[in-house]
Amino acid sequence: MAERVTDQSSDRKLLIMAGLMFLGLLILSIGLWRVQIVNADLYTERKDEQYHVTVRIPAVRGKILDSQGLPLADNRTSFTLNLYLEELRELYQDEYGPVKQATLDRIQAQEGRLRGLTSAERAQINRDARFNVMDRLLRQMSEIMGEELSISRREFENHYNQKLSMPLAVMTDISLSHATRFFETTEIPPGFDIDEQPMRKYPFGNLASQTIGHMTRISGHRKDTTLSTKYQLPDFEGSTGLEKYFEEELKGKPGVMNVTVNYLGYRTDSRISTEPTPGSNIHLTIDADIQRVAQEALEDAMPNTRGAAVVMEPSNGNLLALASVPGFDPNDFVPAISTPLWQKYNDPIEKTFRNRCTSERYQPGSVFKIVVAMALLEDPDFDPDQLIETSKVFRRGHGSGLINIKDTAPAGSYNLVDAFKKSSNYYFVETGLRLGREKMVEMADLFGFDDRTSLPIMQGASGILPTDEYIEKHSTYGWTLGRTANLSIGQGEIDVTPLHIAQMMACIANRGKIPKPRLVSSIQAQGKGPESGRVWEFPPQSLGYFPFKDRTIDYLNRALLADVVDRDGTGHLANVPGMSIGGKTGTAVSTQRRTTWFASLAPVEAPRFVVVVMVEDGDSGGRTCAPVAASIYREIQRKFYNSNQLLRHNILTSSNDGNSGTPSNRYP
Amino acid sequence: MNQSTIQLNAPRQSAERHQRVLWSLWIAVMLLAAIGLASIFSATTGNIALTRGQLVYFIIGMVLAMVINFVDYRDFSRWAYPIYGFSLLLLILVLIPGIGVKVNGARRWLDFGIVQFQPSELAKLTMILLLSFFLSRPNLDLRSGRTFFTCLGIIGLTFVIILKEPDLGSSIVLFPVGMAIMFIAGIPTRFLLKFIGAVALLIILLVVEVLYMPSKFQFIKLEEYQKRRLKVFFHVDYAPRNASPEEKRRLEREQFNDSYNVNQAMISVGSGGLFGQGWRRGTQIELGYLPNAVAHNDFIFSVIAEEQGFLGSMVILTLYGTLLFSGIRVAGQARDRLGKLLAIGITTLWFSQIFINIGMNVGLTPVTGLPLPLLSHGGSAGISVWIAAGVLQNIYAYRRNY
Repeated sequence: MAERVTDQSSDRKLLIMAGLMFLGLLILSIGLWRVQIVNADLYTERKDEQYHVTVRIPAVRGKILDSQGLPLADNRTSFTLNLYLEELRELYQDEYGPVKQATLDRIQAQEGRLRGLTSAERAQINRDARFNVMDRLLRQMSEIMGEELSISRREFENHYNQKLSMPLAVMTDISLSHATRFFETTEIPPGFDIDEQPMRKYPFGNLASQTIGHMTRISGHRKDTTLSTKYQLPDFEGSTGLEKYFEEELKGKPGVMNVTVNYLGYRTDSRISTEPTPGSNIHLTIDADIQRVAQEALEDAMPNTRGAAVVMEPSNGNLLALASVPGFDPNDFVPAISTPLWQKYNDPIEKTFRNRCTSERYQPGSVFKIVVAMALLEDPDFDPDQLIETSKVFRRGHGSGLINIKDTAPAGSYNLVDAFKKSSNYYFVETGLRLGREKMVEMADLFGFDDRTSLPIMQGASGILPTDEYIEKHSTYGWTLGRTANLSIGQGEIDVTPLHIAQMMACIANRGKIPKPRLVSSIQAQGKGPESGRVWEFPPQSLGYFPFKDRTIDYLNRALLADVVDRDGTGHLANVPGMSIGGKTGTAVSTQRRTTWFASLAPVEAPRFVVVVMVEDGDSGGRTCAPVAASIYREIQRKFYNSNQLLRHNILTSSNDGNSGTPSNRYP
Repeated sequence: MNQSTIQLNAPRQSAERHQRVLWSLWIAVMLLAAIGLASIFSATTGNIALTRGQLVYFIIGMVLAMVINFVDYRDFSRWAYPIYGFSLLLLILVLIPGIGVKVNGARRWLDFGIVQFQPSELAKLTMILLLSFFLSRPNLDLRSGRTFFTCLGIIGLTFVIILKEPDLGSSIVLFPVGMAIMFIAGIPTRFLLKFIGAVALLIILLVVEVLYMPSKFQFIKLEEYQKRRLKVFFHVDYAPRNASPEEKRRLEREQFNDSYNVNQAMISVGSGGLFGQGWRRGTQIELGYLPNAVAHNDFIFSVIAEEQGFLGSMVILTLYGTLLFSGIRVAGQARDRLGKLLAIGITTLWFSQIFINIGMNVGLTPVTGLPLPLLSHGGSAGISVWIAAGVLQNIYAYRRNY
């Protein structure tokens, strides 16, 4: 019955079958070789790509320090209450059942019978379950924190769909008391944690605010081009002042965090792959004490002062103070400024953000008489002791060429020094007309009035001088003697910034050498990188040198000193016993406003300090600005001429900073 | 040689049986089963219940394999028609809603309360039995067209019913199995080649039609998901060129979802590299990128490949090679045509499943739900491999003598 298979063809066929199967296994081996050996890197890469989400971590921002090392811009720890969604997955699953039942009940009520759920309905149940869980936890958290917390459905959905692997920020920049509450509560609902993050702070509030500048939050839509990260933690960037100018140096190098995500996009693990490198510290020449006094003296000068004060060391151009009032508090921009405050700061008259020292132009008024006096003294034919008879009004010419200038100084006979200290318009118009426009412009140009102030604070302006080019460009009806007369007393086609005047005073103090205003003394790298501790110095620089005659400087110093020291000098209110201050007042009146000035240097014999004060719409230079200068000089005297120079408590205790505690803790 | 003389003269029932075990087969089966258990454990992130279940199936299979060896294969082969009829009945029962259990849109299981049973696994074996029995009848004219078409009829009937479930993978393997049996049986090769040519042409037409024709002009009605699997395999976009943007976006998302499994499987296999990541260290499983639902059955190979690397894959292929060549050896030594055909049918079935399944994991074949013998999780499939191995042992034990 059993049939024997003995034919040879059958064995051959079996060999063919065996061959086919061997070929099949060989093809599989080749396929495996291709995938596992040849393209292994490609698939490993694809794996990494789907597993890892990179997150940019901002570096700790560099500090901005004053000349004594006090931090004008610092960092504090900010606490964020985060909800880690991946820890809620089990709760979502628990919630799914009840929500599904509710949906089924509703369907039955509406349609009168039960039916299977559509995929859209199931997705909706999932969304509802997730939102319910989150909302319930948030309500529990609200009770713990004692504050209403809420996240809209839309916000939650967006976060869930777009950055599931990132924690959901429930409460940002929370107070220390809230953080304490969190850490002291034993029964914290699942998923919540508090994360720390450095945040900018300005310990001295509005001190030198326009110079330092402020920060703004980088909006989420802007991509960081230097790192190809998918997400970034909240970060800020400097948007004005030094904060903006030195953004690159201050911000440091951001780090990268690798977050491992599972197939649903939930975070399973995170690891910092690149540590952030902190930003460099910027050391300023600003002296916080003098800056503070200058700001306060300006504020006290009149109600709602709008003014500026520049304090400079002529020997190296170091700016000890760049005060501009009104100022703003850069802390208001962290984490974000409120709309009413923003509107208040943007008042078109107050111009809170403008640095009046460097970027607003003013008529110099009688302060310009210094330029005229120097131009006169440089002329060997000019005799400063020659008396000129003056009257209350300078009147010359007729018709359209009529010059008619009132003098605030009493009528009489004046030599240069007397005319200077009494600020006689008559004298300077008379001599100015003799001198001519070109000589005055030449001297003013020498002091750099025509050049743009170039401090690294993103705000600068050049002055206006009636040079030949200027006249050609702006004046259609040519130059007149009347204009020369007006120029002689610093009015008309002449505009400067307070910093220009400080440059001029420094030039006189240095007997011809004009220092370049210096705000930043050095930048110091921080952190553990190869650049760590490296210091970039910004040495003092000179803008030029003009070899004035000794007579010019001596006479001018005499005149400057007389203006302050003599009881009948216009700047007598600036007098500080023991300081030997030389100065010149000025009050420029134009159709737009009244600009009052006091430009000074001290001590006259060997000047170490230049103080320039300008107040918009003040009473007069002598009455409004000179007292401000006096306050500044008193502080200078206290700091630089007292035996105990270390007394700094003044500035430390007067700090009205709210959230830094007492700075004296930090500087024992 | 002494033995053989006895056997030649002795009555069949008493002395023909060799007390010999086909060691190469059983060693390969045991090793593969052990690897299978370890891999299922890893693929289910340490689900001991599933692994234990599979072990139980293997033990059941092992017992059945032993039981089969108490009976001469020629004896139970006489029951080929009723056995085949019974399995067809089960297949038809599966199709009846309420009896067959529907999983992922396909009705493939019969629920017997505590266990679910997949009749298609049984049907593959019973079809092999029936074809082998039919083609080993003594007075059959193998060269007649009638015989050939009868065979095609048996294959076609089984194919159509399994396709109805729908289970394209299981129905398609019936063709290579049937062809191999007919080829070895001695059906003229020209018949087979013509048939293969015709089928190949039909498949090409089908593929072209599915991929490039608008669905309303298609006269071969494939299930939507089957069409999509083909499109995924051939990297053809779901979205027709004239689709609206949102329709296009929707279809692109669906295509991404549909090709997701095979993409993740290839990432698993590829990232295994030469040495692999180590047992239970596969991140594709740990992070859930390789879906839990398929990791331990259809895509078990990608789990092994990720964890054991190219070297591990080669070990698996070597074991399968041992399995297959043991089967061919049994066919070569079979006492009669029935044994030879049974052996070649089983071996070809295994080979087809191995080739299609592993091929799917490396992107060589389209995705079909075919289990990998002894490695994939599954009761019916797991038991059927042991039964088939038992049949091979049975044929080997009654092999002819030299």
